[in-house]
Amino acid sequence: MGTNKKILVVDDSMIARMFIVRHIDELYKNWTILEAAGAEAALKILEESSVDVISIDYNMPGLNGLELAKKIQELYSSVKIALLTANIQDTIRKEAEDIGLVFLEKPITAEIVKKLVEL
Amino acid sequence: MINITDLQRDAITESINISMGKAASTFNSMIQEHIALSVPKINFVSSEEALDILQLPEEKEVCYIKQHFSGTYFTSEAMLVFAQDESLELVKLFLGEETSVADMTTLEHEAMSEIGNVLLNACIGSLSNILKDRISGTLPIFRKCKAQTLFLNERKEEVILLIFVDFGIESKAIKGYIVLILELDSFIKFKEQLLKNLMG
Repeated sequence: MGTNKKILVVDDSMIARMFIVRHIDELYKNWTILEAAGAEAALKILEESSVDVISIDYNMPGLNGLELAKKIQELYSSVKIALLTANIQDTIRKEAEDIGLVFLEKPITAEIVKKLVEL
Repeated sequence: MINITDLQRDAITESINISMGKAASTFNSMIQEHIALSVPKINFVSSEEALDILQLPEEKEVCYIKQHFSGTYFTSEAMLVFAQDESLELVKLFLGEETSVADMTTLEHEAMSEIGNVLLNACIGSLSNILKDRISGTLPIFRKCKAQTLFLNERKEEVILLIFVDFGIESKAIKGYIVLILELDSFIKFKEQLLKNLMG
């Protein structure tokens, strides 16, 4: 995991993105971290840059996290995706896991981010 | 007015207790401080009486994060409420002691929105799992106001079901409330589904 990987963090909360970046930096300083505040920005980034891991929030303006993840899977089938969300409903978790996402619960802690970077 | 039996009240209190407990546990993970939680209180009140129930003085400056949640069996306004003068202290706890006052002030809106989002979703998500119902939520909004305007959006003439817990961060003397507001027709569906799932 020390290799130079690229991660895209999609969350409409600047604070959430800030915490994820902070924890990744503590773990792997050489990782490249891209940020998007929503689905549209995320898809634009992916058009221009390939990434290894994507972290997606669920509740965002525009497409929700699951809708965005499905769209990304159609376009970029090999990328690993985690749904990192405060929405802990079993139905959301199941739908995420059914389409092959890793479900991670907020709050964003060092342990949660460790799971994210080890996808 | 809706009558509920002691058994029904107990079942509702227990499910709310579980949900609020999940929110408190989540809050504990966010700020690494012990959270003391009150027993949930369930009251049928007018929007004007709601403030008295919370024991908030009308002139008290408060801030709140609010989200609307809606599912088949549950529709509610959910609010996380703090005194305004405790908000920055909370933001400091959340962002870390090293955060400057300037940064805290700049990030207060974003930080409080995220705290509210995580806590309210922990609470409602847990409730959704008990109800076996998917509940959709709006994005959180953060506002500051006097306590007397907290419930202005609720229809004055109607009785609402006010469910709330107060919680405290003991080491910092910070106190907050998680408040759920249900209209009565929503409460009937909520109560019936809850009892069906809890009693089998």
